[in-house]
Amino acid sequence: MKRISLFFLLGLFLTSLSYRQGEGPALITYKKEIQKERSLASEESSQCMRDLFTTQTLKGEVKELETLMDTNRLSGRWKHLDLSELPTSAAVFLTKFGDKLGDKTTSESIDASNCRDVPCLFNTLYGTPDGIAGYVHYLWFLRTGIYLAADNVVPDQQIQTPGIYNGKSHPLVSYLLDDDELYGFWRLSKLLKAPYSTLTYLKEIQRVPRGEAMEGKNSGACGLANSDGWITVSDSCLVVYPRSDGGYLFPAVIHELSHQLDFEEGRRLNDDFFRSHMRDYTEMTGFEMMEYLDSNGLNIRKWLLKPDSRLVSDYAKTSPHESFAELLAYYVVDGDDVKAKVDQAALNFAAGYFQGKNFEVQNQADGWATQAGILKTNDVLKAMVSCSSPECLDQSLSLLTQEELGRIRSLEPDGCRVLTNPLIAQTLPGKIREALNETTAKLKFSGSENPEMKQKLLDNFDLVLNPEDAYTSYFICHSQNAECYPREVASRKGPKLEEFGEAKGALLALYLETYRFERVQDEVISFYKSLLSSREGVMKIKTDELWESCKQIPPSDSAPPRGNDYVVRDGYMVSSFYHCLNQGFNSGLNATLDAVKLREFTPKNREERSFVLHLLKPKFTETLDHKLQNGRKYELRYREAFTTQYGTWLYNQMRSNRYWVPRGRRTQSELELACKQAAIKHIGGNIFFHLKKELYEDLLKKTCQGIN
Amino acid sequence: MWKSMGPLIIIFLLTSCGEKKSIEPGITSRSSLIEIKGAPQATQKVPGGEVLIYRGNEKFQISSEKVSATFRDPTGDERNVLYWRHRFRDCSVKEFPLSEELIPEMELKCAARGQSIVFVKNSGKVSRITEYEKN
Repeated sequence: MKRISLFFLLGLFLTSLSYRQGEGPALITYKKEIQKERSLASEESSQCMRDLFTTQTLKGEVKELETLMDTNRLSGRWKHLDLSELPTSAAVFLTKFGDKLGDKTTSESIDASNCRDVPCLFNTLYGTPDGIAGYVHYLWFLRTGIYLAADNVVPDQQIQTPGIYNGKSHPLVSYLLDDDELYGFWRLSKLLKAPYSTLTYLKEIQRVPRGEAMEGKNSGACGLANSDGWITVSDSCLVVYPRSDGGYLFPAVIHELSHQLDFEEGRRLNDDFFRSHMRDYTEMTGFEMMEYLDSNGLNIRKWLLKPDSRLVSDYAKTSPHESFAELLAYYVVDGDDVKAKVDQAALNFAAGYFQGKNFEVQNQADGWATQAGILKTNDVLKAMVSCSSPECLDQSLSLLTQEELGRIRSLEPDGCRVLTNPLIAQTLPGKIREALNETTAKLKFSGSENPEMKQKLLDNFDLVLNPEDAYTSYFICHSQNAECYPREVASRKGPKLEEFGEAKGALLALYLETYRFERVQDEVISFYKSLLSSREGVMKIKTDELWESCKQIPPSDSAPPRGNDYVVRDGYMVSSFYHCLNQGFNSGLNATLDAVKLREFTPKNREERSFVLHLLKPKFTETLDHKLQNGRKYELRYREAFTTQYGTWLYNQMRSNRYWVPRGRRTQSELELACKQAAIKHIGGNIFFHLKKELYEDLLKKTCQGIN
Repeated sequence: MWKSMGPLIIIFLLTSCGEKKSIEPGITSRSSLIEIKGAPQATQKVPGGEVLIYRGNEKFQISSEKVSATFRDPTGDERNVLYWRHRFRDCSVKEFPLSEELIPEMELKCAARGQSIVFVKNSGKVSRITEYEKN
């Protein structure tokens, strides 16, 4: 009985997201089956999460997540593997990151021809068949969409040759994670929820070779986050003490991830590049920008900090973006210390990124006790129905208390760490029991024992937990404030629970706890990301259509560039093309969504459609960025070809046909300028992605230099 | 009667707008600045002068009792780096990092116009606009 209860909830949640053809939209398809076994063993109440760090546990987690995300099979091949035979997430991983794996000095260095799944590929690199490494790397991808690298290319390495770092050659193994580091990333993948698990622009976390400092940085730096979508970390940012769930890896990696979050929030809010540079944050933390032109006319910009500012660390005092990353990292890792160091406003700000969760030790424990009272509602009800004596009920509740303690130890990433506090260890069982007693009291309808009502509730429990209202509420509230979601759930679910009389309140609380905002968010975003990743071909077709239609318009810079749906991140684009892209952006995005005609996928309502469009936008933008890069490369190749073929002709033409020479006296530089202005008109071809005079600067210079 | 006065009122309004005084680095004095903008919310000492800070994060650097530079946030299309690349396309622009940070703030400077923008590399977003005495 006690085992079913936990899995009942877990199973419902996971299976609710899986699709059965003909049962309607994937996310709201409700499956009544209750799976019969647990994925994670929590029978041993003394086991900690670290004790469950085994291949068997990790395999179970991979299987669950692959099932959850198995939306639309991809076609094609990756090396020897037929993608259509793989779960969607595995095929998506291979399509996106498969070619990055391993020793990039030679494509044939590792023979993975025996592998039939992603963990096996990683394990081949580690030389440990069926080891934990492959599962950790793959789970990191499944939970975050980010590639935890196992290759010998560091994104910003100074010498481009793979395996060369700090001027030395390193074997692939020195880029791989050891067991403690793997445990650290596994624990972190369970600790961090959305928005950390749903970062859009971050693609990769790469370890630099063991024993090496960060290339080109001061010796104190051990982690770097770049807005181009990568993080690099070195040894001292990867220290883990598994027995205590401590070590610098946790704050260090969360710090770097928080930088990425800072970029993404800035982009999302469309205000400043960093969320932390927005006025409300700088005022809260006490930062002020000092800016002035120095005596050489150089623009000097320095962050100043008010003397009485209360920040979490000395490093946090260097800039708003470092204070943002430090605050969020230590908020999770050492909640009690942060509370003592910063103001309440900063704590509230940080809590906003963790769905209001408070990581102080006592608060975590109290939260688990409250949660137990809610999540065990079904078990309490069963005990009430099956027990005819108070002693029996008392015994059942004691059993549930022990079971819940076991769950906290083994499934909560902070469970064992918090329970090392003697006071918590002593008081938590009592608090859990108290919460269960309260649930029992809530389920006694109107003071009378009503067996029929209890049985009815028991029989309909799966319907009570139908996730449809949670998902609809999420789509409505995903970009609104924290109060929106519970309010929306209550307004949708509440009336459906009226038939259970006074138990309504307890059931609504159970529903909200089961479908907590962050949990729904994680699942929904993972599902849609997987779905959309599996249909990137459609997006390519739609961006091609938009791109090609814009190329039909002759390039013109007569009007300034307008619009900000698509923004050119760097370099030039002719304004007519930019304008066209922005005009067609939203219709292209909608056309892409309409073209994702999966058998199971139709947004159920306006809110869901709007949500999916919001997820689709960064991908659509990224595809356009990629096309822009290719367009620029094409124009550079065209320039080379033109210069080779017509360079000499142009040189001679400008000297033989002197129609362009200005009348009257002119200086040499005026003459050369007039020559360039005339010469550029001889250069044909439509240039969309460069300023023409800059693209052909060298040719024009060679053509006109010294002309007389 | 009011109907016939309509054109007059419009002309008056247009004239009023036309008389709005502008602040030009290298020309406008401290006292003229204060006459136009009012008293600053705060001041900040900087090497070689002082910066007067106004509402909306607008700042004016004063050197030798004249406005030597202005700093303001971008609005509308000005937030887009491409907008400025177009605006500066006939200018001999200089682009350089302002800091040693991993993601440096960059400055795109058009000396002939006496304008520069601050942006974050590869973001496409402008965070600040600076105006100074034209070269």
